[in-house]
Amino acid sequence: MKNFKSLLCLFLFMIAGTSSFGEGNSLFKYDCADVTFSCGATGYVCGNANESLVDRAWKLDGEICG
Amino acid sequence: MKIAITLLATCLTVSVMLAQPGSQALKCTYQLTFQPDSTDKNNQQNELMLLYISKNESQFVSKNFMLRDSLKKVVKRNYDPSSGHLDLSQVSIPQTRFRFIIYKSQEIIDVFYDKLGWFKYSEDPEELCWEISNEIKSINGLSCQKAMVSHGGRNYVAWFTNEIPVPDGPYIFSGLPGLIVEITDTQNHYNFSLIQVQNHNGIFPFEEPKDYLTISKAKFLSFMADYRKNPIKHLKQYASVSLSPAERKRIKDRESRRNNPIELKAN
Repeated sequence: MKNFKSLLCLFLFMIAGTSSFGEGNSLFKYDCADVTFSCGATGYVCGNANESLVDRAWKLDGEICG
Repeated sequence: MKIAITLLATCLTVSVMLAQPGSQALKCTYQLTFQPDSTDKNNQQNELMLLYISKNESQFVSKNFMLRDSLKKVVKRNYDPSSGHLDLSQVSIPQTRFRFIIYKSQEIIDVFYDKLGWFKYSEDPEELCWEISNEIKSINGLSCQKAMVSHGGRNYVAWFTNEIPVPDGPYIFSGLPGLIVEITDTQNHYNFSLIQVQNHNGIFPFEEPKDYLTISKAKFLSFMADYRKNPIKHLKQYASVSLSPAERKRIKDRESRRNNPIELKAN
Protein backbone atom coordinates (compact mmCIF):
# COMPACT_ATOMS: atom_id res chain seq x y z
CA MET A 1 0.00 0.00 0.00
CA LYS A 2 2.83 2.34 0.93
CA ASN A 3 4.57 1.52 -2.33
CA PHE A 4 1.35 2.16 -4.22
CA LYS A 5 1.01 5.60 -2.55
CA SER A 6 4.61 6.43 -3.39
CA LEU A 7 4.09 5.41 -7.00
CA LEU A 8 0.88 7.43 -7.17
CA CYS A 9 2.67 10.49 -5.76
CA LEU A 10 5.48 10.08 -8.26
CA PHE A 11 2.96 9.71 -11.09
CA LEU A 12 1.06 12.87 -10.03
CA PHE A 13 4.34 14.73 -9.65
CA MET A 14 5.35 13.76 -13.19
CA ILE A 15 1.95 14.76 -14.59
CA ALA A 16 2.12 18.13 -12.81
CA GLY A 17 5.63 18.69 -14.00
CA THR A 18 4.94 17.99 -17.63
CA SER A 19 1.54 19.68 -17.85
CA SER A 20 1.37 23.25 -18.94
CA PHE A 21 -0.61 25.67 -16.81
CA GLY A 22 0.38 28.64 -18.93
CA GLU A 23 3.81 29.91 -19.71
CA GLY A 24 6.25 29.53 -16.89
CA ASN A 25 3.66 28.21 -14.42
CA SER A 26 4.33 24.49 -14.50
CA LEU A 27 5.87 22.80 -11.51
CA PHE A 28 9.21 22.81 -13.34
CA LYS A 29 9.58 26.56 -13.91
CA TYR A 30 10.91 27.62 -17.25
CA ASP A 31 13.09 30.66 -17.59
CA CYS A 32 11.12 33.86 -18.28
CA ALA A 33 12.26 37.42 -18.90
CA ASP A 34 11.22 40.84 -20.02
CA VAL A 35 12.60 41.14 -23.52
CA THR A 36 13.51 44.28 -25.40
CA PHE A 37 13.56 43.33 -29.07
CA SER A 38 16.12 44.69 -31.51
CA CYS A 39 13.64 47.27 -32.86
CA GLY A 40 12.73 48.53 -29.37
CA ALA A 41 9.44 46.64 -28.94
CA THR A 42 9.07 44.85 -25.61
CA GLY A 43 7.46 41.66 -24.38
CA TYR A 44 7.47 39.02 -21.66
CA VAL A 45 8.77 35.70 -22.98
CA CYS A 46 9.25 32.30 -21.38
CA GLY A 47 11.13 29.26 -22.53
CA ASN A 48 9.34 25.92 -22.67
CA ALA A 49 10.16 22.24 -22.77
CA ASN A 50 11.28 22.40 -26.40
CA GLU A 51 12.83 25.83 -26.73
CA SER A 52 14.89 28.02 -24.45
CA LEU A 53 13.88 31.58 -23.64
CA VAL A 54 16.60 32.94 -25.97
CA ASP A 55 15.46 30.67 -28.83
CA ARG A 56 11.87 31.89 -28.48
CA ALA A 57 12.85 35.54 -28.07
CA TRP A 58 15.07 35.20 -31.14
CA LYS A 59 12.21 33.82 -33.25
CA LEU A 60 9.90 36.58 -32.03
CA ASP A 61 12.52 39.19 -32.84
CA GLY A 62 12.57 37.93 -36.42
CA GLU A 63 8.80 38.27 -36.65
CA ILE A 64 8.45 41.58 -34.80
CA CYS A 65 11.48 43.40 -36.14
CA GLY A 66 12.17 41.58 -39.41
CA MET B 1 29.06 51.49 -62.27
CA LYS B 2 30.86 50.00 -65.27
CA ILE B 3 33.96 49.48 -63.14
CA ALA B 4 31.88 47.71 -60.48
CA ILE B 5 30.32 45.38 -63.06
CA THR B 6 33.73 44.65 -64.62
CA LEU B 7 35.16 43.92 -61.18
CA LEU B 8 32.21 41.66 -60.35
CA ALA B 9 32.58 39.81 -63.66
CA THR B 10 36.33 39.37 -63.11
CA CYS B 11 35.75 38.24 -59.54
CA LEU B 12 33.14 35.69 -60.66
CA THR B 13 35.34 34.37 -63.46
CA VAL B 14 38.38 34.04 -61.19
CA SER B 15 36.28 32.43 -58.47
CA VAL B 16 34.81 29.95 -60.95
CA MET B 17 38.31 29.08 -62.19
CA LEU B 18 39.46 28.58 -58.62
CA ALA B 19 36.42 26.49 -57.85
CA GLN B 20 37.43 23.77 -60.34
CA PRO B 21 34.07 22.63 -61.69
CA GLY B 22 35.02 18.98 -61.38
CA SER B 23 35.33 19.16 -57.61
CA GLN B 24 32.33 18.07 -55.58
CA ALA B 25 31.88 20.73 -52.90
CA LEU B 26 30.93 24.24 -54.00
CA LYS B 27 29.58 27.29 -52.25
CA CYS B 28 27.63 29.54 -54.61
CA THR B 29 26.53 33.01 -53.58
CA TYR B 30 23.45 34.47 -55.25
CA GLN B 31 22.05 37.94 -54.96
CA LEU B 32 18.30 37.80 -54.62
CA THR B 33 16.43 40.91 -55.70
CA PHE B 34 12.74 40.79 -54.90
CA GLN B 35 9.65 42.93 -54.76
CA PRO B 36 7.78 42.25 -51.49
CA ASP B 37 4.71 44.28 -52.46
CA SER B 38 3.25 43.41 -55.86
CA THR B 39 1.72 46.89 -56.09
CA ASP B 40 4.94 48.79 -55.37
CA LYS B 41 7.54 48.42 -58.12
CA ASN B 42 9.79 51.00 -56.46
CA ASN B 43 10.31 48.85 -53.40
CA GLN B 44 12.97 46.34 -54.47
CA GLN B 45 14.94 44.56 -51.75
CA ASN B 46 18.11 42.48 -51.82
CA GLU B 47 19.47 39.56 -49.87
CA LEU B 48 22.48 37.32 -50.31
CA MET B 49 21.60 33.65 -50.54
CA LEU B 50 24.02 30.72 -50.25
CA LEU B 51 23.93 27.40 -52.04
CA TYR B 52 26.18 24.69 -50.62
CA ILE B 53 26.64 21.75 -52.97
CA SER B 54 28.26 18.53 -51.85
CA LYS B 55 28.20 15.28 -53.85
CA ASN B 56 24.65 14.93 -55.09
CA GLU B 57 23.00 17.04 -52.40
CA SER B 58 22.73 20.71 -51.59
CA GLN B 59 21.59 23.13 -48.94
CA PHE B 60 20.22 26.60 -49.70
CA VAL B 61 19.94 29.33 -47.06
CA SER B 62 19.90 33.08 -46.64
CA LYS B 63 23.28 34.44 -45.56
CA ASN B 64 21.59 36.59 -42.92
CA PHE B 65 19.71 33.57 -41.61
CA MET B 66 23.07 31.87 -41.12
CA LEU B 67 24.57 34.94 -39.44
CA ARG B 68 21.53 35.20 -37.15
CA ASP B 69 22.05 31.61 -36.08
CA SER B 70 25.71 32.22 -35.21
CA LEU B 71 24.84 35.39 -33.31
CA LYS B 72 22.10 33.60 -31.35
CA LYS B 73 24.68 31.15 -30.03
CA VAL B 74 26.75 34.08 -28.70
CA VAL B 75 23.69 35.71 -27.07
CA LYS B 76 22.75 32.37 -25.50
CA ARG B 77 26.21 32.03 -24.01
CA ASN B 78 26.17 35.55 -22.58
CA TYR B 79 22.59 35.61 -21.29
CA ASP B 80 22.27 35.70 -17.51
CA PRO B 81 18.93 34.06 -16.54
CA SER B 82 19.02 35.63 -13.08
CA SER B 83 18.78 39.12 -14.61
CA GLY B 84 15.16 38.62 -15.69
CA HIS B 85 15.81 40.82 -18.70
CA LEU B 86 17.01 40.03 -22.20
CA ASP B 87 17.99 43.10 -24.17
CA LEU B 88 18.26 42.39 -27.89
CA SER B 89 18.23 46.09 -28.76
CA GLN B 90 21.97 46.17 -28.00
CA VAL B 91 22.63 43.44 -30.56
CA SER B 92 22.80 44.22 -34.24
CA ILE B 93 20.72 41.29 -35.48
CA PRO B 94 20.77 40.71 -39.25
CA GLN B 95 17.19 40.40 -40.45
CA THR B 96 15.99 38.16 -43.23
CA ARG B 97 12.73 37.56 -45.03
CA PHE B 98 13.83 34.02 -45.89
CA ARG B 99 14.00 31.91 -42.77
CA PHE B 100 14.22 28.56 -44.49
CA ILE B 101 16.68 25.78 -45.17
CA ILE B 102 16.20 23.90 -48.42
CA TYR B 103 17.74 20.46 -48.83
CA LYS B 104 17.87 19.14 -52.36
CA SER B 105 18.77 15.74 -53.72
CA GLN B 106 17.90 14.09 -57.02
CA GLU B 107 14.97 12.36 -55.32
CA ILE B 108 13.41 15.06 -53.14
CA ILE B 109 13.37 18.72 -52.20
CA ASP B 110 12.74 19.29 -48.48
CA VAL B 111 11.84 22.82 -47.40
CA PHE B 112 12.22 23.55 -43.68
CA TYR B 113 10.61 26.89 -42.84
CA ASP B 114 11.09 28.62 -39.51
CA LYS B 115 7.88 30.52 -38.79
CA LEU B 116 7.52 30.56 -34.98
CA GLY B 117 8.43 26.86 -35.11
CA TRP B 118 9.75 24.61 -37.85
CA PHE B 119 7.53 23.44 -40.67
CA LYS B 120 8.58 20.96 -43.33
CA TYR B 121 7.08 20.35 -46.71
CA SER B 122 8.52 18.41 -49.61
CA GLU B 123 8.51 18.84 -53.34
CA ASP B 124 9.23 16.41 -56.15
CA PRO B 125 12.14 17.62 -58.32
CA GLU B 126 10.61 15.78 -61.27
CA GLU B 127 7.71 18.25 -61.19
CA LEU B 128 10.11 20.93 -62.41
CA CYS B 129 9.43 20.42 -66.11
CA TRP B 130 12.20 22.42 -67.72
CA GLU B 131 11.94 23.50 -71.32
CA ILE B 132 15.48 24.00 -72.63
CA SER B 133 15.97 26.49 -75.46
CA ASN B 134 18.93 26.77 -77.86
CA GLU B 135 19.40 30.44 -76.96
CA ILE B 136 22.87 31.18 -75.60
CA LYS B 137 24.25 34.30 -73.93
CA SER B 138 27.28 35.21 -71.89
CA ILE B 139 26.77 36.23 -68.26
CA ASN B 140 29.85 37.48 -66.43
CA GLY B 141 32.11 35.54 -68.79
CA LEU B 142 30.17 32.29 -68.52
CA SER B 143 28.46 30.84 -71.57
CA CYS B 144 24.84 30.28 -70.50
CA GLN B 145 21.88 28.52 -72.09
CA LYS B 146 18.25 29.48 -71.61
CA ALA B 147 15.62 27.29 -69.94
CA MET B 148 12.07 27.94 -68.80
CA VAL B 149 9.97 26.44 -66.03
CA SER B 150 6.69 27.10 -64.20
CA HIS B 151 6.63 26.76 -60.46
CA GLY B 152 4.44 27.97 -57.59
CA GLY B 153 2.26 30.12 -59.83
CA ARG B 154 5.18 31.88 -61.53
CA ASN B 155 6.90 31.39 -64.87
CA TYR B 156 10.68 31.56 -64.69
CA VAL B 157 13.44 32.09 -67.24
CA ALA B 158 16.74 30.54 -66.20
CA TRP B 159 20.25 30.72 -67.63
CA PHE B 160 22.49 27.76 -66.80
CA THR B 161 26.11 27.08 -67.68
CA ASN B 162 27.63 23.83 -68.83
CA GLU B 163 30.99 25.23 -67.70
CA ILE B 164 29.96 24.23 -64.15
CA PRO B 165 28.28 20.86 -64.80
CA VAL B 166 26.34 20.76 -61.54
CA PRO B 167 22.55 20.23 -61.83
CA ASP B 168 21.69 22.71 -59.10
CA GLY B 169 20.69 26.29 -58.56
CA PRO B 170 19.11 28.76 -56.13
CA TYR B 171 15.95 28.13 -54.09
CA ILE B 172 14.25 24.87 -55.17
CA PHE B 173 15.51 25.08 -58.73
CA SER B 174 17.59 22.15 -59.95
CA GLY B 175 17.72 19.47 -62.61
CA LEU B 176 19.38 21.34 -65.47
CA PRO B 177 22.64 20.05 -67.06
CA GLY B 178 24.65 22.89 -65.47
CA LEU B 179 24.60 25.34 -62.60
CA ILE B 180 21.92 28.05 -62.80
CA VAL B 181 23.66 31.41 -63.17
CA GLU B 182 20.50 33.51 -63.25
CA ILE B 183 16.80 32.88 -62.84
CA THR B 184 13.99 35.45 -62.90
CA ASP B 185 10.24 35.18 -62.94
CA THR B 186 8.58 36.78 -65.92
CA GLN B 187 7.07 39.55 -63.75
CA ASN B 188 10.59 40.34 -62.49
CA HIS B 189 9.47 40.02 -58.86
CA TYR B 190 12.17 37.49 -57.91
CA ASN B 191 15.63 37.43 -59.47
CA PHE B 192 18.53 35.25 -58.35
CA SER B 193 21.93 36.15 -59.85
CA LEU B 194 25.10 34.19 -59.22
CA ILE B 195 27.85 36.47 -57.94
CA GLN B 196 30.46 34.07 -56.59
CA VAL B 197 31.49 30.41 -56.71
CA GLN B 198 34.00 29.03 -54.21
CA ASN B 199 35.20 25.67 -53.01
CA HIS B 200 34.11 24.62 -49.53
CA ASN B 201 34.79 21.73 -47.18
CA GLY B 202 31.64 19.80 -48.07
CA ILE B 203 30.02 20.23 -44.66
CA PHE B 204 26.60 21.88 -44.76
CA PRO B 205 26.22 24.83 -42.37
CA PHE B 206 22.92 23.59 -40.90
CA GLU B 207 21.89 20.28 -39.47
CA GLU B 208 18.33 19.20 -40.20
CA PRO B 209 16.00 20.72 -37.57
CA LYS B 210 14.99 18.16 -34.94
CA ASP B 211 11.46 19.30 -34.05
CA TYR B 212 9.28 20.17 -36.98
CA LEU B 213 5.74 19.82 -38.20
CA THR B 214 5.39 17.99 -41.50
CA ILE B 215 2.72 19.71 -43.52
CA SER B 216 1.53 19.78 -47.12
CA LYS B 217 2.75 22.70 -49.18
CA ALA B 218 -0.84 23.85 -49.71
CA LYS B 219 -1.49 23.93 -45.96
CA PHE B 220 1.77 25.72 -45.33
CA LEU B 221 0.95 28.43 -47.88
CA SER B 222 -2.49 28.81 -46.34
CA PHE B 223 -0.87 29.19 -42.88
CA MET B 224 1.45 31.87 -44.26
CA ALA B 225 -1.48 33.71 -45.85
CA ASP B 226 -3.31 33.64 -42.53
CA TYR B 227 -0.19 34.90 -40.77
CA ARG B 228 0.01 37.87 -43.14
CA LYS B 229 -3.64 38.65 -42.39
CA ASN B 230 -3.44 38.16 -38.60
CA PRO B 231 0.18 38.50 -37.49
CA ILE B 232 -0.68 39.67 -33.97
CA LYS B 233 -2.94 36.65 -33.37
CA HIS B 234 -0.08 34.31 -34.30
CA LEU B 235 2.47 36.20 -32.20
CA LYS B 236 0.18 36.08 -29.17
CA GLN B 237 -0.46 32.37 -29.68
CA TYR B 238 3.29 31.83 -29.58
CA ALA B 239 4.13 33.93 -26.52
CA SER B 240 2.69 36.53 -24.17
CA VAL B 241 4.07 39.51 -26.01
CA SER B 242 2.73 42.89 -24.97
CA LEU B 243 3.03 45.15 -27.96
CA SER B 244 1.95 48.76 -27.96
CA PRO B 245 -0.92 49.76 -30.31
CA ALA B 246 1.66 51.55 -32.48
CA GLU B 247 3.81 48.39 -32.72
CA ARG B 248 0.77 46.25 -33.53
CA LYS B 249 -0.22 48.66 -36.30
CA ARG B 250 3.34 48.72 -37.69
CA ILE B 251 3.48 44.92 -37.84
CA LYS B 252 0.01 44.63 -39.40
CA ASP B 253 0.80 47.27 -42.02
CA ARG B 254 4.15 45.66 -42.77
CA GLU B 255 2.58 42.22 -43.27
CA SER B 256 -0.12 43.61 -45.54
CA ARG B 257 2.63 45.08 -47.72
CA ARG B 258 4.31 41.66 -47.94
CA ASN B 259 1.68 40.41 -50.33
CA ASN B 260 3.99 38.95 -52.96
CA PRO B 261 5.53 35.69 -51.70
CA ILE B 262 7.74 33.68 -54.00
CA GLU B 263 5.23 30.82 -53.82
CA LEU B 264 1.87 32.08 -55.06
CA LYS B 265 0.26 28.65 -55.09
CA ALA B 266 1.07 25.05 -54.30
CA ASN B 267 1.12 24.10 -58.05
